[in-house]
Amino acid sequence: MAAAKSPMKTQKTDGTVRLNPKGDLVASTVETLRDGMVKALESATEAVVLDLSSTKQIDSLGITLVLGLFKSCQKKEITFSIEGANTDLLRVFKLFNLTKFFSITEATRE
Amino acid sequence: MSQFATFHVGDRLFGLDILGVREIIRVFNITPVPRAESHIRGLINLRGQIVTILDLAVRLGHEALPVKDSSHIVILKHGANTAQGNGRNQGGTQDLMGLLVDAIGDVVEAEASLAEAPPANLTDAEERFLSGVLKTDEGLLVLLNLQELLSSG
Amino acid sequence: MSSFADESIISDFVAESREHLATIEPDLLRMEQEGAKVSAEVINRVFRAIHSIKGGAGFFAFDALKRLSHAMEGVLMQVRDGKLKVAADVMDVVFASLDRLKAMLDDIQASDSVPFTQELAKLEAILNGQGVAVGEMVKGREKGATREFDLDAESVRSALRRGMNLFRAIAYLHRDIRDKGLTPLAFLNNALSVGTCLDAFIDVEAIADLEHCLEQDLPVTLLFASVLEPDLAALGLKLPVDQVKVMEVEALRKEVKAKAKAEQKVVAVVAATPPEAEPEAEIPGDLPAEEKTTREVTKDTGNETLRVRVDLLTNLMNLAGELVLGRNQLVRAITDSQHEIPGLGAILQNVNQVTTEMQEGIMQTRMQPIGTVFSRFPRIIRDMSRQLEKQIDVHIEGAEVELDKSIVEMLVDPLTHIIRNCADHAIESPAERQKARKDPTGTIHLHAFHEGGQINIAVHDDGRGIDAKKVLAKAIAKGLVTKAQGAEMTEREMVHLVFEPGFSMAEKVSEISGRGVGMDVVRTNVEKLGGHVEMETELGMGTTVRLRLPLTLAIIPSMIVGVADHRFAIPQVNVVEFVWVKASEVSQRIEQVQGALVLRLRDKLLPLVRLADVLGLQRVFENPETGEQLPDRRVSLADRRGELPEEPDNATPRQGDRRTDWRSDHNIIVLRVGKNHYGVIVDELFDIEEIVVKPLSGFIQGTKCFSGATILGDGRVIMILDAGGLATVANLHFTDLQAEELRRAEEEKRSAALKASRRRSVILFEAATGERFAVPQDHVLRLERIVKTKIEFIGEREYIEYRGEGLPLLRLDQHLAVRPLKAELQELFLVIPKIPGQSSTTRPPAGILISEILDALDVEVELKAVEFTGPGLLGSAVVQDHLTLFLDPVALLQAAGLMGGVA
Repeated sequence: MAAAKSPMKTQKTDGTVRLNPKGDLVASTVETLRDGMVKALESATEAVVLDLSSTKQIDSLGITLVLGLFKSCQKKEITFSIEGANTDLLRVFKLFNLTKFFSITEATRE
Repeated sequence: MSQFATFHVGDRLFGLDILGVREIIRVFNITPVPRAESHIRGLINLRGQIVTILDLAVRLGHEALPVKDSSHIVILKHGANTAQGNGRNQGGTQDLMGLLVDAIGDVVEAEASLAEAPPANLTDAEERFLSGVLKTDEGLLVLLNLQELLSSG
Repeated sequence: MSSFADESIISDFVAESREHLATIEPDLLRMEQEGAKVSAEVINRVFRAIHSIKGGAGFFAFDALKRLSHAMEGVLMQVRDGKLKVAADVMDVVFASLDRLKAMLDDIQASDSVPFTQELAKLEAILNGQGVAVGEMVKGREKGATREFDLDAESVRSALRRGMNLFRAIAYLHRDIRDKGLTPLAFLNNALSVGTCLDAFIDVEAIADLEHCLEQDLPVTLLFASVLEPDLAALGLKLPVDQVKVMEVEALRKEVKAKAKAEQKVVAVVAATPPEAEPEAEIPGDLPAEEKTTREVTKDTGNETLRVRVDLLTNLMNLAGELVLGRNQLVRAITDSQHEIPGLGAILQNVNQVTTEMQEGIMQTRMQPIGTVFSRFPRIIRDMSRQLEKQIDVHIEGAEVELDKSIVEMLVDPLTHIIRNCADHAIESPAERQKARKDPTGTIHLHAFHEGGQINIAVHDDGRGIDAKKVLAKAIAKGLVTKAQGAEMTEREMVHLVFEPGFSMAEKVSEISGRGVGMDVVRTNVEKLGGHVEMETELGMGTTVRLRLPLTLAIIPSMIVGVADHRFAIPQVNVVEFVWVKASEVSQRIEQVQGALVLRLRDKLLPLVRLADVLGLQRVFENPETGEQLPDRRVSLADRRGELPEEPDNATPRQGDRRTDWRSDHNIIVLRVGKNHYGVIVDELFDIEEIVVKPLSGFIQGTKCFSGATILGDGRVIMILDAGGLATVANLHFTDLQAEELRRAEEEKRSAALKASRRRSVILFEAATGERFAVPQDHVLRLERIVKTKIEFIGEREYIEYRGEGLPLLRLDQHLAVRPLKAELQELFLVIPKIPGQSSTTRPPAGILISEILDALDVEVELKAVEFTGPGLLGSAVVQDHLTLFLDPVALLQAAGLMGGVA
């Protein structure tokens, strides 16, 4: 229903944009997500928060997307962080040492 | 004063400085070595070590000794000093040597420096292997030149 | 300064430095061969080795060592940085300096007394750009690709301590993960199942912005620790091999170490090329003990190793040997009572197995790859070829083959000698080789391999080969053999004369290998190890020297045999098989060839010796065995030997000698000596036992028949037979027999062919009355009837006009011992033979005169030799109840000189 139309919920508070993809960050979704992110990024001035609380899986393209998002934030000199990552996602980010670049916080539930 | 281990070979009394003697044992199972020189009497197993036995009589140019009840083997402290002797002797296995003798005598104390030259009527072999004679209470003690005795050839 | 550095640290440093030097020598050779193409890794390895020696030398205040290694390091640094081209003259200096370093390490306390100023001056000249070509820059090396890993010292250290390899693995997110159907998580989980991920790194700078990122295939670099070897690690990580590189642990560790004290978290710089600053880093003086162990334990392979003193192992091995003996004695002692004690059998078996395994394990510890010897040869050949102005390649195969350390060590001299000979004498100068249409670069091929429980080492060169005739001439000139002996020698035997003491092939004493010792020393050394040397050569093509060696000297399974009342051990490696010849078969299977006893075994003829005869043992053994009497008998035997030299006839089995009378079955053990086999007749065969080889006293080694002695389970000493020595003492000539074998094989072939054609069509005829002959039909072209009056004489020879030409006639009685034809016969017959390969229209060379043609028939006969001989006689057989001589007309014509012009 709504998820089909908009795969990502975008929320803006002051200069901070909160992106909440409604599903996994995988090949089939990344293109749409990217387009949404590009648009959302335009209005971000302070920070971008990627909320992965609805995301269960991430594939290679998903990681590339996250890194691209990070890179764009870096260029705009705004902070980037990830929230609500489940254990699997956290494990991938940690093993790839992405925590070195931006803060990643766990999903509070589970 | 030195102490000499004495032993009989034929009708002679021989002496060796006791410091050069490791032990003296009874004769048992000598394994002959075919084709070896005649003065090689054979090999024995001395508590896991192989000892090469020289027939002193043959070495001195006489007939071989028959083994008798009184026969003994004088095991020497020093190994043979042959050229090839050390080729494979790693790990401290010594080239142990023993002398087959007719009978053993007492340990005799004597002043080694009083030794006189060996008598003139000797065989060539004796001249090479005898270093001198000592007069003792037991009679004339013939001293052996151990170093020569233990060099091959 | 070295006062507080205790002895053991210094000896560790020396041992380690020696290892460094040993490992970099092949690297230096590679640098020289590959020039600018050599991988940076190789240069770095060399560089680091020298650097660490310099560091240690500085720390322990070994001034000469430090100064020389410092200068070497400088030169290597220039090479590494592409400022200096690796030319042969540069390498000369580097190699010479390397040798000096080795010399210094050989006696570290006296290291300052090793002369090194010359080498130092040369190195400094190179450093200052004098006297050497400062080469072109080595291009294309990636620079500045410095990447940072965050890692904590403890995890690296612990990985290294556990003997892991460190890898730098690159995984492309798409190509290596997604395209293989993996999620990043699955990829990582898999990676973690084969090792530990110490750190990962994604180059953020390389990422495009959000818009364009999805088209990118981002690489993730992992610092990965695993016990796997590099190629397996790639497989385990599911990555292409070229994306997984072993990290230079030394460099990493040094960095970790240097900063470990200041901060727990350190940054290790990992780059395609090590940073410039590295050479200046001194090895920290106060290495914590733990660090030191780490360093040793992690030496290259990743297998955990310990340094153990060799004498400790030797001692352990001797003890294991004694244990084996003890076990044997124990087993023997309680075998009989085994059934009385329940469970004893199982215990025995257990002890048995554990002992065997332990012994094998201990033997293993002393095994060393032959490569430790082989590895020195490329360098030797390199130096020699420069000195001799030759071009020589060295190929090594089978460097991993393992041998007992003591054998490896004792092989150094003989092998070095053989190799030097190859380079010095065998390989020709490039000009000479070109003239002979050979590759100007000669090749020396070293090959080690296992065969039949032995080690084979072959050294092959493609040089000029050895001229057997020249060897013989020289041996005769030197008085090693007489002319008469030489005349009977095969080429192979001639070539083997180079192994004779006192033979030295070199015409002039060269600086390199004419050191007065020759191949005889090689042979002596190899035989001392219980091995054998052989040589094969082909003039102009090259020479191969083969060594066969036992795996170990210490414990060998052996067959125990009895002769008279003596027992002997024959190492099983020498035993090919056991042959039992029954008394009834003796005459068929054992015979004499040229006065020597021979065993016919399948299609082979094996020389045969009686052990008792070779060893000069008395063959009578009826006397009861009493220890005391043994020596007596031996001495009397010596007397007997003096007056009664053994005649070969005495040894024939057909002659009933005292010993074989009562039981003339023969126990024959077939032994192997190099490629040759021979049989040894013994009285009795006992078990196969594992025996501990005890070396023989120098007094006994001259007998040549024995390789050692051993103590049997029952405590008695027995001699170990030396198969090669025995063959020498018995004076066996294998080559004679090979010729005889060949002759027999051919004869057999011929008689087989003859038998196959036993059934033949013949023409039966009569010459003188009652003398019957047969000629195979296929040897007859035509039969003609002639009238006697038509025979004409030209000189002594009879002719007849045959188809318009004069045909010579042949009378059998003129060539064979048969009666002449009856003179009164007016009508005669002619046998006109068929000449193989000629058509029937060709004029026949002659006709054979006979009196009557009796029959043409098929006969099945076996030809027997006839008492009288003559040309063209195939043999005789009974045909139609008459003795008939079978003729070969062609041979007959040949003998009569009538085949002229006809081949």
